[in-house]
Amino acid sequence: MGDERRGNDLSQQLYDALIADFPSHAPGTRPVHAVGIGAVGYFVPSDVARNFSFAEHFQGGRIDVTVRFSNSSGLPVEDDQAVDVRGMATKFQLKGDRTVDLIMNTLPVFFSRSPQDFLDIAAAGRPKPDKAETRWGRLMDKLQLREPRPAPNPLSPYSGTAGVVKYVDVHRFARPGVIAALGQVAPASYARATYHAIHTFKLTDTDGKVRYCRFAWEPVAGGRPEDRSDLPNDYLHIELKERLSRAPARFVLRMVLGCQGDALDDPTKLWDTTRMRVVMGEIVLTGLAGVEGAGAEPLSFNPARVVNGFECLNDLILAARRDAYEYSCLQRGGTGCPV
Amino acid sequence: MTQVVTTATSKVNQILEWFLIQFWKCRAPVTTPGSVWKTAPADNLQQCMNLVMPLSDKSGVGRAMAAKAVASNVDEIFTGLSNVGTVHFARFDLIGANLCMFSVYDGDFASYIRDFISVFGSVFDALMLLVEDPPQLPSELHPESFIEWIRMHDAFQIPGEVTLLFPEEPDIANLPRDVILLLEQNRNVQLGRYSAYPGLSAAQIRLATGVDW
Repeated sequence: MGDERRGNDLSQQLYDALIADFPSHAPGTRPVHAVGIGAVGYFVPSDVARNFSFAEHFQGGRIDVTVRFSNSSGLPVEDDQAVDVRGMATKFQLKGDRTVDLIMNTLPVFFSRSPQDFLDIAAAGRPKPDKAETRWGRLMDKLQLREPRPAPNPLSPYSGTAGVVKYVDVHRFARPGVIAALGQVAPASYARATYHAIHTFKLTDTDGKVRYCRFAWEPVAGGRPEDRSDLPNDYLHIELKERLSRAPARFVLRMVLGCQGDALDDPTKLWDTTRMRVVMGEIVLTGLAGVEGAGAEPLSFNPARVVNGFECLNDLILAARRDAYEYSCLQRGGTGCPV
Repeated sequence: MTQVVTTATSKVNQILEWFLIQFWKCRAPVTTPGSVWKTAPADNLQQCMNLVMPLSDKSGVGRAMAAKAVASNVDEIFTGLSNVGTVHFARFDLIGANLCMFSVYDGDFASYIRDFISVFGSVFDALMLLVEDPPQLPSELHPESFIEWIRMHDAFQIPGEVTLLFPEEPDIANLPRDVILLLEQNRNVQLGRYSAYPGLSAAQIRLATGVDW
């Protein structure tokens, strides 16, 4: 009871910390990744996938999937042009109404090692009025060979970036994740971005051999940033609807095999690009989920919803996400909350 | 007229940047990171060597001599690389006034250079006569100084996100300047690399595809 209570307290703290970062958050929506669009389709594992895991979705044949694409902001207003992390949450429908989730985003690496780190950076990133840099400030940046500060977002006059930057000056483990977040670009399409599962998973094959792996969805159409600034604020939704009305959208599930010395339970650590990569399958998205893609909105996606042969490790952030996502689902009245 | 003004502004900017770089080189110097000791097997596979060797005669005559020296030794180079056995690919390029050898190999850098000294060092000795400040020759008799010379002419490699090379920088707003100063120190840089088959050695690939014994 005590452990459960602590877990619940932590979930609520994490949830509240996120809400505090988005003061105009709309009740009944997710605290982050509030705006999303769903798609349906199927996943086909590759011929070699079963050599690495006995999990059902890697054995062969089509598995129905539901995907939710999103912007990471917790604001209820869609702003697809914003410098923002994009999400791709996938639910694999297994036999007997069981499901497995694979939650990814466009960050290759995270900025917190533990729930406390997360609470600290969320506190550091509380939004404050964002003013344009003065001419004097720009001149000083130029003289110091620094880059000028980005202009404030007209749709969101508050920003937590300055606080986060101060935080990473001291907390250096967070740098890779924050630098990756600050360097995010708006994609031309949700179907033209690469998404990463920031955690490491344990895969077991039929012989009992264990491998530690990370995953990414790579768009078959190729990655493409959007360079036009005159698009509507919901251009990603419009584009996905048009794209799926013309033809399916495809992603390859790429798995990276960890090596000796790689961080297994720390999502702030990148793995070297020299690691062996394996194609585990392909997802084919054939249409929108429900009316206008709203069919995935009530669903609970949870990064800890796994299955035998494809399991979580002792990762503090992943454990905290499991509970916080459940708490969030209950708060907004979502479906399928208990993992 | 507009183009003239733009060009002049660009020149002024470049001069200003040059002065700023000289100032910050003294005020906040950066150190080029050394190689990191790694233990994972995959870290010893498919290493890159990007050898940039300035030609002593930078004219067309010097470039033609270099091209001829490589072409007339193709058999020796190919046989040597095959005998080294750990090379995925290697190529010679003339880029500007530089003779370059780009290769991808498995294993340790010094061992790789030692191997190629022993199997086609004579070809390299001939090429060394065409480049600036050559090492002591013949390479077979001076392997250590030859290895060091090659190391000095191997382009600096940035493994991933460049700003992560400065974990001790206390202010991340200074990272762009650190990168500028790093690139001032290292004129030749490998910015990134891709492999279709990471984590596999040349020997494993040859064995799996049935083209070797």
